[in-house]
Amino acid sequence: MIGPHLAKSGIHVIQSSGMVKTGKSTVGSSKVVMGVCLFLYALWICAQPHTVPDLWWQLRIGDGIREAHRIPRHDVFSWSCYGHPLVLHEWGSCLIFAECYRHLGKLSGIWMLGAAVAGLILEGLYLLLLKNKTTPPVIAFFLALMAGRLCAEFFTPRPHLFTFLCLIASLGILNSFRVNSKVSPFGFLGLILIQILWANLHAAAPVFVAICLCFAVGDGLHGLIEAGKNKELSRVYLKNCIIELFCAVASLAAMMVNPYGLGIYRIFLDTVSNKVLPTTSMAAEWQSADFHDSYGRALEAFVFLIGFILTATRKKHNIGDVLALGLLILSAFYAVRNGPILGLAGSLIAAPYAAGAFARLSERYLPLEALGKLLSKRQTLYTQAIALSVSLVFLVGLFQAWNAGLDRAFMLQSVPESACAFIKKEKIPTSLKLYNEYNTGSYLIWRLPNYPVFISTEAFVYFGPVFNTYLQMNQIPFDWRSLMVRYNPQMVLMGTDDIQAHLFLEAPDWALVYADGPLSDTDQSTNLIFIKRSAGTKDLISRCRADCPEVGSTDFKEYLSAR
Amino acid sequence: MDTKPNRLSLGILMLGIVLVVVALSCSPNPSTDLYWQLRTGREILQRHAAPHVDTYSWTRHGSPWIAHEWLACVVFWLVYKAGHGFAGLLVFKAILLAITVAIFHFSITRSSGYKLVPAYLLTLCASYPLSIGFQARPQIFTYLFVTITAFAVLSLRNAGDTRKRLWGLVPLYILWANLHSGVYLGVFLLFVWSVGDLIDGYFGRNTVSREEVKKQGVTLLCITAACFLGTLINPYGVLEIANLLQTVLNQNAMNAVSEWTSPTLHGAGGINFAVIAGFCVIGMIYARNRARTADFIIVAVLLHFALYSLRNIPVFALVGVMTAAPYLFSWMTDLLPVSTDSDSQSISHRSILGSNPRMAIVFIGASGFLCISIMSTSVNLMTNLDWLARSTEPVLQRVSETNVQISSNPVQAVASLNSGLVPDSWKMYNGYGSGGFLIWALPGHPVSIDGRADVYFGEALDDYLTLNQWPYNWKQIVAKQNPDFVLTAPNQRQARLYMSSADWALVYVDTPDLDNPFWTMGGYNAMIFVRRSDVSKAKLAVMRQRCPAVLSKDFLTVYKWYPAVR
Repeated sequence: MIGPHLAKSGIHVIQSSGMVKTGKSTVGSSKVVMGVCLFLYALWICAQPHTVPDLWWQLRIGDGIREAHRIPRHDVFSWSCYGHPLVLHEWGSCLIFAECYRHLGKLSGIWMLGAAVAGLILEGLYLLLLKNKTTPPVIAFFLALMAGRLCAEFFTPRPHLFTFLCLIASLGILNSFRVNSKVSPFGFLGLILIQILWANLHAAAPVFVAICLCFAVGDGLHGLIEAGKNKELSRVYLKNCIIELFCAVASLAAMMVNPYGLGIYRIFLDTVSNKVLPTTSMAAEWQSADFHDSYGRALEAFVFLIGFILTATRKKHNIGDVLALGLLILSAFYAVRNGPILGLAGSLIAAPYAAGAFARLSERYLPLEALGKLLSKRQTLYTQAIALSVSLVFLVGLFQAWNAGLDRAFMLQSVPESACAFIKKEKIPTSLKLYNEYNTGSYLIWRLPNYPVFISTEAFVYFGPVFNTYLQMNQIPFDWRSLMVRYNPQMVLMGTDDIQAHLFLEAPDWALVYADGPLSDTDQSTNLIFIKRSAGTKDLISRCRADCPEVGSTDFKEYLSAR
Repeated sequence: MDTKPNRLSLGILMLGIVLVVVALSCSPNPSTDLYWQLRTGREILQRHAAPHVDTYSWTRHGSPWIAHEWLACVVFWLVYKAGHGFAGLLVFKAILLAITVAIFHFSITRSSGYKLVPAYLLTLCASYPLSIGFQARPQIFTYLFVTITAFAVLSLRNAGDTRKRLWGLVPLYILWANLHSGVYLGVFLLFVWSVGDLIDGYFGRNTVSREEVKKQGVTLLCITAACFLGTLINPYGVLEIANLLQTVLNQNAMNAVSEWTSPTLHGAGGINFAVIAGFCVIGMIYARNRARTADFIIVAVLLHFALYSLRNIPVFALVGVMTAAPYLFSWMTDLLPVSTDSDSQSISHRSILGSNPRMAIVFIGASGFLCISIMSTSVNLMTNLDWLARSTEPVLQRVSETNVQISSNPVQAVASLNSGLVPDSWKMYNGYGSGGFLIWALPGHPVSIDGRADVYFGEALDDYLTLNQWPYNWKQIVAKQNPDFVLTAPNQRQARLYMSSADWALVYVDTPDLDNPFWTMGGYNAMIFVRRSDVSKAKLAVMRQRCPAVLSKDFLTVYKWYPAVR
């Protein structure tokens, strides 16, 4: 019979009366192999090319916090929003990144930190999944792999990594409370410490509160439903409901232990309620998933898996679990950046139902039962073979990534390093107001600290007229000059892949003074610097052009003369 | 247990839902393809033959064209002619959609065990995501026939020996294959149902009445095969299938054409879809009876199609909901059992959840939602430029012309071109969305592209999509086709290319405020550029004199930076 045996056998998914028991040592080695595979997977993901648009301003802020021993409360990096209030919810992350950069070999240290945390996330998830005795290791492994796939685009050195780590830690502790219907003092202390830490690393802590509340509502409903039928069970559910509510409230209170107090909620609400961000292609992670691309397909596959598990499982559904999963799925569909949270939390919530679902599937269809019998005889061998093969693939990938270096991992070729060096070399006056691209603003904050930017990926600083103006400029209006009148920039730095570059290339009142490559439409963007023509910039323009022969190259000449 | 429903209540709710659908179908919802379809229908009747090669464009003139919806084009033209223009089309569309939703609602009501109000609410929920397809397009035939297919198949499961009646689908599929290539979706659904039943019949361990299920599966498979063969009875034979496959496998089209993109949850449409999808999933998860394999696969596959592409949402709202409805209602019955016994503690069948709800509830429900639909449609109509511009016309005409949003096409520019603004021999380069209207309204000027994307697959479509990205080598791309004049609009990125080029001169614009987003109210601000090398300065001046906006001082001051206005 299937079901209770699963807990003891550990790795058997499909069994019949002729079941084969596997020794604990082979089961243990399978788990280790799969665990190693997951860790390598995390490293492999981190080694894939990812841009790190926020890292740079976070490094600069971290340096500033270390030197001044205080957290900034106003913007000082831009000229468009200089002095605007700043709620730096991820100040703790900024400090950690800055320290890593300083002491662990600069960008290598940052990469190692990111990879270590990513590995910890997947391993932590895997261990929590294994902790549930009814979840066979192979299913735990598979769920963790799928969660990893959903996290792949976000396994970069960003405060979100700490959110993912704190989320699974918090859910692990909460689960232990639910299973035992008891709040252990150490567990509770751990939960509070995690919330405090989380609130100072990244403002996504309310996600855990929302999940707690879903569980509380579900257990409360169960408690009321069972009240008439089974008083003992009803008491357990109601007790769990109170525990979950208590954890939610305690977490909310713990989150206020941060430099901004209640202000931390304001930034969270401002960001999630912003209607403009999801409509812009420059903030792709805030848009709904596109099911034409590989990430969308992975998300869809994961959601279908959850749906199948809930439909097919024999285990009675907990309403709270279903509510939480529904909320996570909706949020993942709403914005791509919520996908990892679905992957991690969704795996933990759905795992207890998974074994029963696959077992039921095999019960329902004769060929699947026969297949199951065939597989179960050599299940350990198959799982170890698969895990080892996959590990080998990741190792090869890691080796290739190692050879390519950090330039590839952080896509450093996309940062305007040469353009920044040119600006410094030419000693372009810092009084010239710089208009820049959204995604490079962060790098400019780091690389050109004496040149305030117009905008950067610290989006919440710029919400309002500045952000709206930038978005309007991205629509390349015909009368874009009337938008710029308010700000009157005198210098522009952007890449040829930015649509706004066309505006300045075609504008006779702007002079192209620098280009670090050809004018082309390939993936490799060329960085351009423009200076506004005026009596005061005439000499500067001549000097810069003389020092940058690329500006006078054939393709630029042809493009500009043919206007 | 099905209790007999109150027929009057059933009728009122059915009428209510039909009127809601009619109201929703009047909301502005333009179809850019309608115009070329009208011209095609007219020409088919004149020539007594379906087209096999393209004659509407100069970029793909003579290339093969599979007009799979040829019969729908003929129907639309006949209705347009007999019904005094767009008014007739609006009425026809509303009737077709009303029949579709009536069948849908009847199926839902029966699945619910005649819980009239819950069935009505579910139909209403499904109507909103369905309404994105409420356009005068051949798709509306697909919605009708796919609903009939689902109704017929699901009926087989409920009643006794209705298997013979399913063979009636075959002539329907022959008709459908000539109306729209969505017929292959019907074939696919039949196939999934048959395979699912065969799996349950042959391999399912705990299937009740395995023999019966096996027979159903075999019958369905035979009917599927017959229907598939029936679809080949069309002017193009197997080429119609090849054309369909070519379309769905073209990644550029899937990523660029808006109706083929994934839905977003940031708008009302996406949220409506999420709600109805949620109901279906909950139904499948919590059903009292285990879902049949076929039903599970159908709901999963249709959900996948809907997530992949906006244009598949209406099909999910129809067939997906019809399939999931019995499970949803069985869960509801478990949760809130309805009894005919007035002494029972379970809910009475006279309650809102029963089969004979109080008449007051029925009236309030039906009329309430109808009023809301009429109000929202009215607001959508009255804020549309077409409505505002047609205050002297009869109501039906006003509604119908606002429904198709004629003003979202370059109407005035076409009038100028028809009066000889440019020579007839000049090659026109136009936008994808306006191509259909130009085929209809400007027959003397072949288009460069239009909504018949499959005709342009290859370099023509790829180059058009590339130009939308404003590439630096755009002149080389344009030089491949070498048009003489360009008809575009300020909200199309390609307009910037010509405006910023010294090789082109702007000779016409509808409204001088190029950044006014009045296209959001259904307007179109046409711009016409001519190649400078094709005209002398004197001729250019003459062209511009026909459009004072281009010569106005304000316009020239604001846009002085652009070479095209010089």
